Amino acid sequence: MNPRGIRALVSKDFTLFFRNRFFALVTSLALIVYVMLYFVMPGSVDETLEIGLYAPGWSPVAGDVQQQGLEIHVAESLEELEDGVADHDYVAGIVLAADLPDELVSGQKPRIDLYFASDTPEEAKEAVSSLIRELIYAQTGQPLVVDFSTQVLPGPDMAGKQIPPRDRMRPLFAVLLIVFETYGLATLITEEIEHRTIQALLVTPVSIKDLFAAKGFTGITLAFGQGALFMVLVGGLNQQPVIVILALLLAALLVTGIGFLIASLARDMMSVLAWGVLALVILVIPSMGTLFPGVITEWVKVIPSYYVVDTVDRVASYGSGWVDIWQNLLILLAFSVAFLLIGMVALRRRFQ
Amino acid sequence: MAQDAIAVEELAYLYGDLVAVDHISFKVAEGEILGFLGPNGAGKTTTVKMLTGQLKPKGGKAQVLGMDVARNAGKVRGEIGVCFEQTNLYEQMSALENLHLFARLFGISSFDGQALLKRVGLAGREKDKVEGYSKGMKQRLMVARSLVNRPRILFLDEPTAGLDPASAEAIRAVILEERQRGATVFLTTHDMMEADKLSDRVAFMDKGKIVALDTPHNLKQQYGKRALKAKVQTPAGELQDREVVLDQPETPDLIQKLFAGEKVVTIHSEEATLEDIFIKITGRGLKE
Amino acid sequence: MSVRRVAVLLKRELLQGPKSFIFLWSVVLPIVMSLVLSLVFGTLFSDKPRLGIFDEDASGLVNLARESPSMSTREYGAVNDLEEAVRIGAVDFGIVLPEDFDSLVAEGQHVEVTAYVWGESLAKHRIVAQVTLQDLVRELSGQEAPVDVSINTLGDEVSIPWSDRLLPLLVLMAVFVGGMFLPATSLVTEKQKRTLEALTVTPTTLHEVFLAKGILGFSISLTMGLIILALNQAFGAQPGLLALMLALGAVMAAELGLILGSFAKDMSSLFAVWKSGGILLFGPAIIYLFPEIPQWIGQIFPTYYLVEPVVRISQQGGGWSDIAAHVFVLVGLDVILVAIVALALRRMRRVIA
Repeated sequence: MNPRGIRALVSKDFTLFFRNRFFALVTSLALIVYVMLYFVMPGSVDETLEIGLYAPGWSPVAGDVQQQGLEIHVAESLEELEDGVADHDYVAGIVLAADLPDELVSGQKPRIDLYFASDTPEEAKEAVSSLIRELIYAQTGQPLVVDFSTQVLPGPDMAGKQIPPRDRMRPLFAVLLIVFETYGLATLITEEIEHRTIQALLVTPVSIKDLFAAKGFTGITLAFGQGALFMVLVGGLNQQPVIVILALLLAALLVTGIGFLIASLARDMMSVLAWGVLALVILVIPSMGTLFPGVITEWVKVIPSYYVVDTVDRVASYGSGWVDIWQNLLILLAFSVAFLLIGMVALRRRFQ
Repeated sequence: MAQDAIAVEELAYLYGDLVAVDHISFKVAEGEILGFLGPNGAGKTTTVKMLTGQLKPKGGKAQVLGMDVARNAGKVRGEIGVCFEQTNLYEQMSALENLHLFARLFGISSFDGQALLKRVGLAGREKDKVEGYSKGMKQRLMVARSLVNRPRILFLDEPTAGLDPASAEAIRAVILEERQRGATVFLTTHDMMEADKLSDRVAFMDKGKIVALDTPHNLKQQYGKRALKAKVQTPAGELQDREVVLDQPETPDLIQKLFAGEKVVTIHSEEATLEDIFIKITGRGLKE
Repeated sequence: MSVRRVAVLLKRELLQGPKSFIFLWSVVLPIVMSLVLSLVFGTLFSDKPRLGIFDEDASGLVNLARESPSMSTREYGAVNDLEEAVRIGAVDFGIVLPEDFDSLVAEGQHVEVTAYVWGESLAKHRIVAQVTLQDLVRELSGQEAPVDVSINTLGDEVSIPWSDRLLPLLVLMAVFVGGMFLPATSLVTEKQKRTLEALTVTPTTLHEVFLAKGILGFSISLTMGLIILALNQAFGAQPGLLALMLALGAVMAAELGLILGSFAKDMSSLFAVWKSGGILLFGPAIIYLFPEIPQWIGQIFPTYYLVEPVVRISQQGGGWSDIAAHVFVLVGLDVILVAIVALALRRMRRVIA
């Protein structure tokens, strides 16, 4: 290995990267846009069903039904209730007439008016209707014969401390930023092959190994740098920063290997785009699991980026520690080294 | 006894079934300029790639400065400079940056890029990006880059192809300076006049084999004919060509007859060109 | 300007096009995404609680649950499968119905039902699932509801199902992927291979070259837009108006492609734009998908003025009066882009000279 030569090559790659000001600007823009998107997204989860209630003489009812996930807003008048519904302050408005208790006692079947905004989904209307029926059943002393004995799985009950949507997006954004660098690196290499500067380098004391080391370092730095910076800016390193940094580093190693592989397969820049899209789509799939839990089944674990996403998500969102994720990191390391080696072998054959 | 700069023995290379280099053998002494001539597809570039470590020979061996190229490619590359036929510069970098990069790759700590650029006639443009250079300027920069490490052997592939006379002459001057410095030059070219002018010896390559290897003078002596070429004016006023082969027993008589019998307008002697010799040896031209 | 020469150039683009990855990508990607997003992901955006049931017998509660609009129900063949589904969050709430559940309930006997709750399920989903199940049990047991519930709606807005919220994204993808990238990549490739120079030393002008590439982008863009609307049965009552909007969007896409191709030095720069510029194109579609994001933000994006009229016409039954303002803005943007294309053309002339 020729450390001086490697340093020279790395310096050249970074010079060329930033020499194309448009390219550098737009790359930085990606990071800025993702950070902005993160902060634009809600930082909390609204898990409460808010219902307006106009029930003169029925204030105890409000107290009866208050529970976690349900918030009753008592309106002073029907107009106030209707306004609240129309302004989407509540999902539904319930009117309990003053003579309702009397009607129930006398065995009549009174009518209860529910108010919804016209764009309320049908399921919400049905749900509130069920709720009010159950409420009345309870008021009229008709308990349900079925008892639901509930158990929370897997363990921690997150009600009241849900993970905000923007934090669920964190692994996706970080992975996107890192994965996009497969393009960056594959482009750097393919350009050198297209412009034949590779040949010029290989007739100097620089060996193919030195070239790989330099390109690898460049690729890892670009990928890891962006991913890590993003996580710093969005508070993704507040918990177990060492684990998150390690996961991102291994991810950067992985995409470097994939970048080498793409460069070995690509004939020109258009092919880089073609292979790159394929790689991107595949690598992003595991991120869907953090956005839509339960959607992704076991097969997704064959995709290497799963172990990045799972680690980052569990650590940053759930505070998992080394004991919980060491296996992920080990598997990720194995994938990263494998892809790096495969990429290097394939690219070496291309150079030769 | 001085070692040979390049020593090639039964060197061979195949692309699949195609024999690109067919067991060639030759030597180049240190400080010599060898012109390597041949038509496209003759195997010149493949030979150069083997000598510069870009390709591993499939047969025979090649030694550069006493080192087996296949086993000591890294060391060999430290001692050679290569100027490629096609430009392969970092066009987003300036000339100076290109040279400094390669200086660093050769491990040269104090390197005067400005002086080298001045040598090739690029003074004043060193900080401009290469993408703005003309073809001639890029070619000069390519030559400059091949000299960064003061190589003991220079491999130049068509260094003056497509250049204006001034640029071509500048590069030829640099080649001669390098030879004076003691460097060995392996010059691949189609330009037979250039090869004739610069080379101590020339090698003709055709269909993977070396068909001739000698000094230009000896080759012309061996294969060429010297002649007197004259233009005569006929009584009708037309100009016609006449030729008298020299070095023949009847030459003096023929010359006398020419001057006695015709109105000679111009007369000059002419040697065979290397192209003529190549055609004679191989039956086809250098530029085919 | 020679129409004949433009036709010759366009023909070359069309013949070469299918050999290029970008051409195939621009045709295949929107269609594939349309199918995938509509069929698969449409359900994922639903805000209904998800119920899982393991039924040891053949309880009528399962069918009642399936028919209930308040939640989406899935049945599991084993308790372990149900537990696993709850554990990974595939369902919010899982219940194990014991044997003879229906008869026990009908007889008014007390029944204990094991229920699992996913730890990350929203509190409101838990409430909805619970009360809905209770309601269904009462229905199963034949209990008559003690009250009549009357539903009153306020306002004019219509609830848009999540599958409809995907339409803007699909339309933008269809219109802009091909419409923009085909002219852009074609221009960059011609610059790099220097074939542009070769063209402009013939009677062909740069105007004609740009026009041919622009027409290519426009045609692909419009065609794909129409195909996507057809695939999603989203023409609404005013197909002509929709086609007009798509045409204006296709013009914008082609213009952006020409501008991009003129200014991008090489494919790397194009990739960089794709990397981060996508958000500028698809911003309004993303905002449509996530109502939590303030909807006014969409108006910052130029593509909003294409997407909003398409949604109003195809999903809200809107007409000319509902979209006139957007049309004028979109036409204005197209005109501004024409001016920028002209600048780009002038610059290109200097570059290849």
